[in-house]
Amino acid sequence: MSNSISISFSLNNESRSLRVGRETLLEALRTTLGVTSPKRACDGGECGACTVLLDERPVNACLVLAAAAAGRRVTTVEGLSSGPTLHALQQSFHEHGAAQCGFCTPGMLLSAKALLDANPEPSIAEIREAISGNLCRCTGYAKIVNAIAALGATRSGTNDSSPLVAPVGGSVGRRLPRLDGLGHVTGTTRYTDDLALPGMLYAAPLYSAHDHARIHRVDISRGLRVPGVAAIITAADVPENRQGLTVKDQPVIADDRVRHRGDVVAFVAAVDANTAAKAASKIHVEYEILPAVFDPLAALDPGAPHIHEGGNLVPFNKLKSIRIRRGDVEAALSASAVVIDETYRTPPIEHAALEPHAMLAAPSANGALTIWTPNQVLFTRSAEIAAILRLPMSKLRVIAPPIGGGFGGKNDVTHEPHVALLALRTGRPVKCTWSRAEEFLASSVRHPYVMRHTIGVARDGTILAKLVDTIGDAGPFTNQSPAVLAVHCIFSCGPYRVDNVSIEGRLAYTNNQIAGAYRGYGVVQAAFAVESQMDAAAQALGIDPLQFRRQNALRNGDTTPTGQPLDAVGIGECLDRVSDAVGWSAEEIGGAR
Amino acid sequence: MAASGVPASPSTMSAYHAPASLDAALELLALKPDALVVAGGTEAVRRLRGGMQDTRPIIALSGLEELRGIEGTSAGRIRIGALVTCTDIASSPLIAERAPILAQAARSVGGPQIRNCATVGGNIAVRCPRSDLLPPLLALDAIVTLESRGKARQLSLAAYVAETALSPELLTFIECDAAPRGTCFLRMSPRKSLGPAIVNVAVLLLPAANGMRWERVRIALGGVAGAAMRPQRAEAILSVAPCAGEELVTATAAAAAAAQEESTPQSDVWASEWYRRHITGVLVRRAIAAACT
Repeated sequence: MSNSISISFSLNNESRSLRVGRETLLEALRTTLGVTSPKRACDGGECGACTVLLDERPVNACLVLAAAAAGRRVTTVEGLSSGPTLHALQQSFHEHGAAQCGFCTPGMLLSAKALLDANPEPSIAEIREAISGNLCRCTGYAKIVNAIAALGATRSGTNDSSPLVAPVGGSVGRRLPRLDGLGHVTGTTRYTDDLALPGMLYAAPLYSAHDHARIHRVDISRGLRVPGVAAIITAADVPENRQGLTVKDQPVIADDRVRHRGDVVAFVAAVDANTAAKAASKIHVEYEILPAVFDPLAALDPGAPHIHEGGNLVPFNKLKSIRIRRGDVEAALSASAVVIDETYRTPPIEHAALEPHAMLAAPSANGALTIWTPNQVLFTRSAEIAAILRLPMSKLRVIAPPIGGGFGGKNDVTHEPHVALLALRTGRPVKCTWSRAEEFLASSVRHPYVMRHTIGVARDGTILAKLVDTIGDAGPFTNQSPAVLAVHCIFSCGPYRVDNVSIEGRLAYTNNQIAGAYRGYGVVQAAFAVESQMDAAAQALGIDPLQFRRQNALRNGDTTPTGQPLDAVGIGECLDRVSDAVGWSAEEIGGAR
Repeated sequence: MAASGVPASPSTMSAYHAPASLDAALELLALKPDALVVAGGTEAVRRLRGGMQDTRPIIALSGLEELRGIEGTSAGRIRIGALVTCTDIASSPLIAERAPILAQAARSVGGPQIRNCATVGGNIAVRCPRSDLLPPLLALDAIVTLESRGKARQLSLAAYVAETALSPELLTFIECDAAPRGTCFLRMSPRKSLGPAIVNVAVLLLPAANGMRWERVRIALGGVAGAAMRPQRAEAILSVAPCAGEELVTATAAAAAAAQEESTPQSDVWASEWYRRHITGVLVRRAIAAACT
């Protein structure tokens, strides 16, 4: 009995025949046929980035077996336009700025096409329903809905939306279509996982089996025996096995111990991804399990297991601390009519960009190396990668293809050094693309913070003092934590004037995920604590929380706790506009509080 | 250890069968009782991808046209082929007229792409306690037909979902009551689209001819126990209540409280046991009120 079967189907009105096993339609399209507009983002029917039309209906290609396409019509975004002429939907998406990072765009277009084919003049509710299986992480959906609605309106002759128009003459003050928009709407934008090079190998990591453990031995021999495996690297193969922007405390591949589940113990390159993953699972690691700690406060207890030799207080400067002081907090708290002392906690948050991390490395004959990675901080990270590889920068070229969503999550060096080393070892291009599970396991998250805030307020509602003590959960490595913490501390009084301030921020190592950059960069956590406490203080004083904020809002001429003079402060106007827009009424709200 | 990238390797392939008729499918299933049966694929393919080393043969049912029909029976019931998709249910004029609660539930499954593939049979056969079609089908006294080579048996849906032993049978047809009025389906989910039901509730209230008492009361819950279930005490409380007035309001509250007591929810990533129980009471109360009007 054969393990694969021959199937024929129509792909964008052309007959295609191929042999398939038990791969999905998405795999067959992307890998076998090289049709890369359907994107692999969640691989579980949760996001719609892989949407194709099967006959006339949108389906998730990641949940359809390739064999099930036999005898049917498959349409991808490549099948929308004929030649150089864009389909009206593609044109409308382009003109309305409906494609931002572009990763959800092909799927979004196909869901929209299926809708308009069945219902040429849909209502806004029908449009929203039709794209409800397609996640977009950038646009907030409004522009996408507008782009589809405009087309329906054009058909009914009631088009009153204002699409972008290509500028004639000056562009200042005009809304412009994205320079990369045409690639997004035609599905021709090539993200890192869409790239394939001749002879390319696929790589897969072996992650730690424990939260915290000493490594006694790594035996790769059984992995190497798996047919199709080209190379396996371990810690000994990394030229400079410590990385880190501020503190070099992160092994590229774990050597003495693993400090969280996302630590890499070995990395395999093989002829395909499943073979690489299978070989990784055959690698034998002898661990000695160590006690782990997952709470940043518990990590600083005297009896807590040490994650690094020097203890769990992250040594990012001599004091292991960031301190901001102004005025006399103790005196001001004593003089306050109301003092509130409360501790606020925030959780880790994953960026969940639609495009998973992907990295591709290709060696050249002269010993040089090219790496493709959707990294947001290309030059700094290139230098870090070169240092890990001990390659001169002149031998390393790092290219950032279009990024399918970053939000700070593609701010770190992840597995670029690993594919680079495997490429140098094998002399072949090596690609690795993360699964959605790996995104949660191995990428950085927004820092969990424990923030103790003490506020002192005078009877008339003037904030007199603020005492802040933040402990950040850095995860097992320092990464960008000090920079994020610095911004957090600077913003720990919120947009309010406070004359007597004492802010301290420290970081604890834990066995949780690595924490890193995430848009807002430490300010989001501060805002949660500050605004929660503003409400509590207003309630204690019996005054309208909006009025309390207005009264204390920073104004032009004020200085921040770090001494920065301000001359363009918008918080007062912002409060005015928002309260007008929502019809704020202190009386109505008073009842609910 | 997570697999990354594509493609599948030849070493993990195994036979794929797409029988063209029900008889052929039953014959295959008799020969390969351990086969992975794939209907719409939205659950089976996901499971397949989770298990890299899964080498079971696949029997794909997509060619069985005889299981794609929705029809009224001579007894006034509705007969639905197991391969009817959620989109088919949601857009069927017959369902809209005779069992709108089913259309409502079908529209809440996954997102449009999922509904275009996911089948009624699959929704039942995966035995997920929060499948959205189960509560309305339980409220409509559904029975399922299970077939194996040369054999067919019928079983109430309630008995089927409570059955744990999985025999190599195909679920081929679902038959349920018509209920043009007096029904309501509600669900609580973390988000409107692509969100699993934390709790789902179906209520059917059929007044007797005199309009004073209920002739039939059905309450069915999903997400609150190991399998979708009917809270019998809650149904009994409502059965003796009048069809309107203050006493109905009191009985509704009592039925909601009984439903909470009869549910045995568990905590998971989506909701805590406490929240599930709380929401059960809220949804039962709202669904009874809506089914009355």
